[in-house]
Amino acid sequence: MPIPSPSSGTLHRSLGTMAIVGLGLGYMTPTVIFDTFGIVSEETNSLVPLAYLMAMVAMAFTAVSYGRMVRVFPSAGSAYTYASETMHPNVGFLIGWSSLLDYLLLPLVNALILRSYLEAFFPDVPPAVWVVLVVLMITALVLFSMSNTSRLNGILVMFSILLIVVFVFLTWRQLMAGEGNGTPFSTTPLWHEGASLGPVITGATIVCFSFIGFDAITMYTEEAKDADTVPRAILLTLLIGGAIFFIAGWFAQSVFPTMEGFSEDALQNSALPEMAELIGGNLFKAFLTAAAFAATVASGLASHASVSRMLFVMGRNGRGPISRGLSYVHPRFRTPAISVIFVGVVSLLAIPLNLDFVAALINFGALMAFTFVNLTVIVYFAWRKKLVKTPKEIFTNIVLPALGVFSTAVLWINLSPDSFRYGMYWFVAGVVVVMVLTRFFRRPLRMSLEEGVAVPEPETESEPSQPSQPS
Amino acid sequence: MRLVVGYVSNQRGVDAVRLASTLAGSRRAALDIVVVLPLDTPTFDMYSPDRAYQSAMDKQGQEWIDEALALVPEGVHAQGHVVRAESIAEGLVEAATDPAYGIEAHFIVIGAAHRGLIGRFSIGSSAGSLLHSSPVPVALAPVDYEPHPAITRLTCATGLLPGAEVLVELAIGLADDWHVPLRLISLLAMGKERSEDARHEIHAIAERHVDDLVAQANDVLPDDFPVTGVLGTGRSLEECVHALEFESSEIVMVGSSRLGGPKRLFLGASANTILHALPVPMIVVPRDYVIPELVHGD
Repeated sequence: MPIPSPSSGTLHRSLGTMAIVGLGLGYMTPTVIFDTFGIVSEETNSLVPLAYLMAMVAMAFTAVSYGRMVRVFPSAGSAYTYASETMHPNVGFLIGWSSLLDYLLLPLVNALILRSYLEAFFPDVPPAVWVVLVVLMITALVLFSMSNTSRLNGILVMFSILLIVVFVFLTWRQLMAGEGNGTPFSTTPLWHEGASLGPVITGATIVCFSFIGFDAITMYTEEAKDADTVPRAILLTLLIGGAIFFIAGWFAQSVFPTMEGFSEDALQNSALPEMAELIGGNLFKAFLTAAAFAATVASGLASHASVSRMLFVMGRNGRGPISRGLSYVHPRFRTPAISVIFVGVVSLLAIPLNLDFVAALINFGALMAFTFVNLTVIVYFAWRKKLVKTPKEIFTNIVLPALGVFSTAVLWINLSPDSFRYGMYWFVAGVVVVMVLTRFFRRPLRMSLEEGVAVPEPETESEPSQPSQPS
Repeated sequence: MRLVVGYVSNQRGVDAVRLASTLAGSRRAALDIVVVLPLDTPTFDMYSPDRAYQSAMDKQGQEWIDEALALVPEGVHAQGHVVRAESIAEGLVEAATDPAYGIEAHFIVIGAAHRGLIGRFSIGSSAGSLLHSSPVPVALAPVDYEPHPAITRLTCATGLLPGAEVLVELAIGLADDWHVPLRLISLLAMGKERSEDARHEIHAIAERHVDDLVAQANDVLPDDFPVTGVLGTGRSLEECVHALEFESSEIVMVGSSRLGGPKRLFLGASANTILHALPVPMIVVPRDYVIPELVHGD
């Protein structure tokens, strides 16, 4: 037996394509389709499957671009690193800043979804009580460093997929019995009288939210068997996840051509418990909600831990009292306690906010990051490497990523006006932060969120801890 | 002698380093100051900046090590390690026993929890699991322990029941090694339920037991070596302990279980009671501990 060396850093694993695809599906939390179904069905005038199809096509170009960049920066794995390295550190920072909003909102979304589930079962209890309880529980678990749910995640994903299969089967029976459209083979879920493209695009911007997570598997590059594994897995995760969403969406839309009879909460937050009840009765409602609940808690723990880790890393890179607080590590729990609690406090915003609003806000940052991943492919391969000599190179290095830029940008500008506006506020705040950090672009940015990735950092004359003197 | 010191960045860690330094003062000893961090297994968390996080945590661990090393007095040899393990107890045992770190440690030194309301010692969760799992003796520093240049007396507390042979043997060996006076005490807690005669009888047995222990020590140790025997009596173990006087620079050794009580986990009921009543540091010795050569040797 090998003796573990005291200072061994990273673990070496060899993950195959399907193992990574499984992890990717875990991040996507497949049951999320039912959570957003009510919102999207209303928004698109009952064309949920089409919205998923559009989102998937846009994501597919981005998935290919991620696959390209993963080979260039195997140890990184994030849009902001790609943008920092190929464009400019300031651009990278702004992408990172937008992503930060996503990261901060993800634990909140999980709290929101859990609130919805509990509300469906206990309608008399004020929802704020559930938010506080859920946030307290998750914060405590992360604080006591019990957030590693990777082993559990696999089981939860399999269980969720199984229940989605049961859902499709039950829906099929109801359709055959004459419910909804009366047949699973009608094309009305894809197009029908009175439908128009604009709302479907807006719907697609919401369902992008379901796909978030497929890009997270880029971080397994070093654990993957070979260089092709991750690029292949990204695309496969997207296609399999998309297929699950499309099929589940198709059957759900066939049996619920309209959202008539659903409660206000189902249309603003999660529609999952009510859909399950209408399709399979109380027992199925209990099962599906329990599975989704467990998957959401696991996802909530993971995102809460991740975000607090990110804040901790940023805190350690920064200076000043806020940074000192965020970089505090509790001596006994050995977790970044103040960051963890801060994320918990942010999650309490699940009391006043709604899922449709938060999901759209998350998509603001995600779509911006996706757009830039596509752009970095063009910048890196076509411009810096000048790989545009053959028609094939022009196709893969310009046309394909340009289609990615176009499709994600179309989704981005079609976000609901509210979320676009709030997203822009956050973005402008980011620009201000960059200007402060760089003293109006006179000083290079010294901030790297990923250790081991060389961020060029020229020697500066001025002492960094001193405020710069006006000259 | 090799001491593994479990450091956490609070008073408990400070107490541990101070006790280890005091122990090292008695005898040329090497301190391995250990900070245990959680395992850096990939969390597979969404978006987690794992690599940056782990390297920042390593830096934090190193800062804690530096903090601890600054507490070590001049002339005491110490080095620091950041160890990754599932729990603090596991990491300390690994650092104490894994050949990759050197010879097996003679003691693991930790501080007692700070929040104890009654008594000087209160066992935190990591100390608790260490006391129930460590294969090497564990030295516990009381809260706000003041460092001393060296240990000035070694007290070995036993009871009447058998099973303390290893403990006594180790105490004799250590006293010899450290050149400090050895005090062998037998604790006899007697409730009122026994008859006067029975109490006298047990008292006589206990006195003989103390004499036997002293004789055993005198057999091994040089002729003029200061060995004393004391019988501590009282209605309860707490009373027995309170009846004795302790020097602030002495250390008390107890066995892990069967200390006049039924066999429990590693830390027996009696040892636990003694620990809560004791004003000075103590070393808990596992029952089936194999005493390493080096204690007698170098």
